[in-house]
Amino acid sequence: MSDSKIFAEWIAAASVPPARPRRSGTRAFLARLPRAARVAALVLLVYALVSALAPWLAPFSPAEIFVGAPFEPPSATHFLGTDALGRDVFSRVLYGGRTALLMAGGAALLTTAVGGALGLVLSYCGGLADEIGMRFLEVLASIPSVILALLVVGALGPSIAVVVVTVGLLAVPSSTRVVRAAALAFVAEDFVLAARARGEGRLAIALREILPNVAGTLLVEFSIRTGWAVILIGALAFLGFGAPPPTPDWGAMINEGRGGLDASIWPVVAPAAAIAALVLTVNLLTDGIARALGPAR
Amino acid sequence: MRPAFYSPNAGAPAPLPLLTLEGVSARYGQTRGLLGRPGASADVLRQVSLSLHPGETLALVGESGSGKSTLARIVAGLQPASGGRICYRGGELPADAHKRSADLRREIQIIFQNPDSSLNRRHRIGRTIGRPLELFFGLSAREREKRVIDLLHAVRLPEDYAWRYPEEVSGGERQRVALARALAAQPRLLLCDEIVSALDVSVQASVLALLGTIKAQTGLSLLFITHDLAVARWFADRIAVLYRGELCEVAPVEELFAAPRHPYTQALLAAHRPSTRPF
Repeated sequence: MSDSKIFAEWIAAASVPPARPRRSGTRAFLARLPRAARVAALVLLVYALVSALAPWLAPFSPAEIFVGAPFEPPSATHFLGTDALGRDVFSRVLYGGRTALLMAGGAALLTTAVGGALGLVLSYCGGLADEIGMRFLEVLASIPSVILALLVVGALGPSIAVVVVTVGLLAVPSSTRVVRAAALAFVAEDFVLAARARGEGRLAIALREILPNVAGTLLVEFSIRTGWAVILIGALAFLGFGAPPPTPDWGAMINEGRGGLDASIWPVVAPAAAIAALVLTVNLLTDGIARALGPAR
Repeated sequence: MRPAFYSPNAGAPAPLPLLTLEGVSARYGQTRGLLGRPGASADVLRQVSLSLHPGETLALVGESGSGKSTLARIVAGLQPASGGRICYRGGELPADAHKRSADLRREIQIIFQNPDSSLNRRHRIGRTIGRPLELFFGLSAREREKRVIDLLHAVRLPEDYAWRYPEEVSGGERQRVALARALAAQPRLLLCDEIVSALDVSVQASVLALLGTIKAQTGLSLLFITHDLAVARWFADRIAVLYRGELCEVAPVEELFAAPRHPYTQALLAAHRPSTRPF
């Protein structure tokens, strides 16, 4: 290779325009999402679609008994066999996705909304309000959540709303702590001082200045809480404190199928696998979102 | 440490000051703990008296920890003084920004040292500059957009920067954005807290030149805080030297450089231009 050619190449390389600064925004965020998280997002989408389309996808009604003989093995008619009452396990698992996603999503939304609001308020107020609020939440957080959930649901009687609100509020202390810590990093920044100097109110500072900076933290928190709620709601249903009986619920299905495990494992294995895969998916997605947002959420 | 040659108004160009500080003191660590334990406290400012006249640039110089930034924050209403009085245009200035009238908050603007921290990273530049326009002048979105573009031009930035986020522009450009945000309020008094310290020397010069032009065009008064004597000499009308929370000397620039009277000022100048020291 001649010297002039090397020189020409060097010029070409040197005259490449400087890379554009990193664009913030949804596009860049998606580009940084790890592959496992993208797969997880797809799987979650499948979960959501299957749950939404359950009435059209399910070959049988989830509540109708004796659509087949009890404990039928998987077959072309009953893909996952039937349970002790001859109900179609496949149809019940499809419908169970609705219960699980809606209840867990609702609980996580409640947690994030209440915990996020409290965290923002406490971080910005500081002082005595912060001290009292955090100590109070720590006392709540020190009670084991399953026991507290059983107490509340047991006292109020199991219904979908009671379970969702209980599970949602149970995680508020830890959500508050996470959001408060994230917000505290911004409270001391000069843009907050600038807002104070021009006379913005506390609410305006919390909502306009700090909230957009902790949006990533809130997203991760929502995701973590969804996975956690799936497990806790499943556990409650397994113990008989879930949605009332005709509702197809994975946790309740595992409990009902327990007695007939020697006859057929499918009424237990199918919902258990559905729960496990959902939690795994949500956790992978959470991890990916946290990574893509980076340390400077 | 109150020297006889201390005279706050020495060399002041006009008789009626815009801003007057009378015996302003500040201390940190006054807050009490949860159980009423008094925290440790330290004096940051001791009995500082100063005045700043309309159209004047007063440089406040001193080493780090001398209380320069604290003084700016007190004037901006971000931190209470522990003693003394601050008067602005003849009236006493409330300590807390929230207790000041909207006009007072508008007329006194502060620019911080680090534009990475003073601009909200989640707000587009147009929103950052537009906020004072909305808050103080109640401009509609359409009027704001026009004014934001004017302001961007005024600080020599292209108008498409309005749609960018702070992380998409350079450090010097960010400081120009902070300047545009302060100018949006149409201030009378601009508190500049080490506004070029975080920038490269070449960028410093361009930001200062821009500020100089704006000052000349608008008659803005500046409290210009810096630790850099060269910048102060080039930029200010008068210089106030602060040492460990006490004001050592206030004098017009030429006078201070020609004949520094306070020993600390002399030491500072000697350190600033060692080549002129006779050996």
